[in-house]
Amino acid sequence: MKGFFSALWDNLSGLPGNLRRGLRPGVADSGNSAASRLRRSFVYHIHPLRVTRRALRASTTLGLGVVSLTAFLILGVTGVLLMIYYQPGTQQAYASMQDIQYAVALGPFVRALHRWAAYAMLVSILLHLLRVASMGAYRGRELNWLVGLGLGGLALGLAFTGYLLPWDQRSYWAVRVSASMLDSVPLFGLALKNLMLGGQTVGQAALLRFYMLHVAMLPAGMLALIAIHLWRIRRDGGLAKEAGEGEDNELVPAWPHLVLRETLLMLWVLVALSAIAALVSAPLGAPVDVHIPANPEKAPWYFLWAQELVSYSARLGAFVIPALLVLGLVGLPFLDREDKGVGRWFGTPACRLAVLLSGLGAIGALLAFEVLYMQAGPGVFFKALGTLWPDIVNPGSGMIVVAFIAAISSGIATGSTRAAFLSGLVVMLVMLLGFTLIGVCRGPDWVFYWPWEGWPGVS
Amino acid sequence: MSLDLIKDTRRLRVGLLVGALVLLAVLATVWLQSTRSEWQKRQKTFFSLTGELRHSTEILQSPNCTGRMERCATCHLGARRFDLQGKNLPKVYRSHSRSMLGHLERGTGCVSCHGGSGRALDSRLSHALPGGDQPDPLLDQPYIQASCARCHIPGAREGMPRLVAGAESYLRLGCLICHPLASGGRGSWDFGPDLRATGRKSLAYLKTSLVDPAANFPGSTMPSFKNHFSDEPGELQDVLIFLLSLSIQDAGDCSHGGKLVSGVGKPCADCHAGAAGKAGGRFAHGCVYIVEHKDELNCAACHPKQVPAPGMGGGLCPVVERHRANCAVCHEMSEGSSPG
Repeated sequence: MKGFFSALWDNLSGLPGNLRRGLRPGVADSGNSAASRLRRSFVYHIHPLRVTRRALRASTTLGLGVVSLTAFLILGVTGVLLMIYYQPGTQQAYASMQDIQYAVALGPFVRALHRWAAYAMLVSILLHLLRVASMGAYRGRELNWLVGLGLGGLALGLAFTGYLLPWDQRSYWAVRVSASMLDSVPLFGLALKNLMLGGQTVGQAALLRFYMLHVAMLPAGMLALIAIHLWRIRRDGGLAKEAGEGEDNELVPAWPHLVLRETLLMLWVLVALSAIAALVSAPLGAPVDVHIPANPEKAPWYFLWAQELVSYSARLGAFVIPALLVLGLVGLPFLDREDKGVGRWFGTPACRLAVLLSGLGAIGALLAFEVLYMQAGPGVFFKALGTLWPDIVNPGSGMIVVAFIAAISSGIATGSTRAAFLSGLVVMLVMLLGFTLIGVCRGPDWVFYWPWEGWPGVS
Repeated sequence: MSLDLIKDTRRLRVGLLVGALVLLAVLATVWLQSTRSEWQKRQKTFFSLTGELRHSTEILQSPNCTGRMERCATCHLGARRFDLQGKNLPKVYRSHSRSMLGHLERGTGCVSCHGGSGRALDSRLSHALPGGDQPDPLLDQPYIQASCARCHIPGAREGMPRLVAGAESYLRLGCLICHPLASGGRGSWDFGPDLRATGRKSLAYLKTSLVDPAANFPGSTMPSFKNHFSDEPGELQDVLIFLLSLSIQDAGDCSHGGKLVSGVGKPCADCHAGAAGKAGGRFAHGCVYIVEHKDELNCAACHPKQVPAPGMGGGLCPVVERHRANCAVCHEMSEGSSPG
């Protein structure tokens, strides 16, 4: 009895100290120096105690990985907030969107932030991929390159599944047209479509599937891959760099110099996205009416390049080119094993020149192909050659040829496999960006209109 | 690059502080903006006009009898305030006419008659004004009669003379020949599109469809009714009211707590012959009507080469012939009663 009360008194009187020790485990043993603080901190899972000065410089990576991670975190928080109100039923979805838009406190802001963070994540992941490829930073980090590609794929999946959820005309028809692209995928196209939509049409089954993928499966996969991605960076020795001494490779404490830099970047990404979200809200169109197709039916902007390619040839746009892209990206670290120029933007000076020329060539080729295709058209130009030819001779297949030529000629001129693959990749990316822009300009009946031209009135 | 580590730390901390302050400023702006929306201003104006002291604003919402949420009362604060009827208030605050008191008491709500999007709180979107991207635009007099058909069979109750007149014109002008309203879905188009499946079109669109069909549908073979309606502008309005009532969304199952009001039901099923060949109703009598008014019908517009001979019965008209199966469905219902 007495023992109990005295023990309780001791615990109560020692509460302040015990709280401090309990909430900051290890502080008593290791002291309070910067190094020991970092060693105790969760950040130590991600960063070593010391990093190179090069790692602190903004131009080294542009912080693109941190930007995409920040966007992901914002998406998680805003997404959970939206989940409080959103109902994934064909009858309720649009009404719950209207609730979020009109009656929920700060609902439009949270929704706009979610949308802008999603777009920021897609763009920063693409740029991150380009940065890593251009520096050959996949050398010795093949697994992490593949994990990164997986993250990119999941991000695309998240964006696409999220696009359907508002259940307005724009989202419904965008997903319908994207899903119909699967019709052109040989062998498993139909099964894939069934799996994705829970049937052959976009309905309740599809909405529920997209919702489940969007809020549970894909984010969980993304979290797991992010953990592996960050862990691998540390296991692989931090940022990729050329071996050697120099002031750049001098070590400085990660805390506070790197950690605060990253925090600062995260904070300003949040500030920038909040400001954009406050200024530009997310649109909510008319409720779904399956009898009134939107004209044009447009895929989400990040799939517009595929839709534009499909408008030339379904097999090419929906299957051949995406498959080539994926194969090329997966194969890249295994086909290029050069150590020279690692960690520098677009490698050696010769490599840089080759990539620049390829990029310019891609722009020229794109303009030439499009002018030829739109002016002459498959009707005049290719009809004489038979029905098979528009499938084979069009700007999309032209892109493959140009990328191939750029890769081969860069490779021969520089003797570098990196220069070859980077040239090919840059040609593809430049031309796909061009196809996306053309897709943006497509009006009713997929006719090209300049942005300053109005579309003819459609009901 | 030489790096002064102490200076660097200080700079980073200042950056964090500035960032946090800017973030707070942005969020504060967003919050302030959210408290100054259109409906909040409207509520403040209303309470200052009526002299009722209120310090806070709130969204006023309630489901109508179909279960759909409506927020109209948030701005239209005076709609049910019959005590304010004498006051000279702006239109948005005026109280509702007492003629529809029964509907108001039964919880019919606003959207069921007036159209618009009850959940929205932005006047452009909630009223579904042009450019707002929303279907089901707000209906003014006399077009609001079209809304009666959301629940009532046209003519079954008092107070919808223009709708009934429109239905009669629809038959007399022969619209029914190409737009039969009675066969199931898109697969059985005869000449014109199925008017039950077009969704809610704007008044302007419907009007253009009548006076200049090719403007909405390039290559349309539908004859223009421009000349006819220029003599009868009132009839144009009647037909428009009827057309609006066809493509209007039905209000849903509104059984008023199990006690059905006479003439209340689902308009599509009751009047326009529902899916799968079931049901049937008043408009099916158009077939009888076609036979009776053959000479007045503008058959030549559709059958330039094969004008049915007068007095031969409906059998000659291929449309009527094709729809014979439907006649049987409808004629079980109420043989001989007049259309409309």
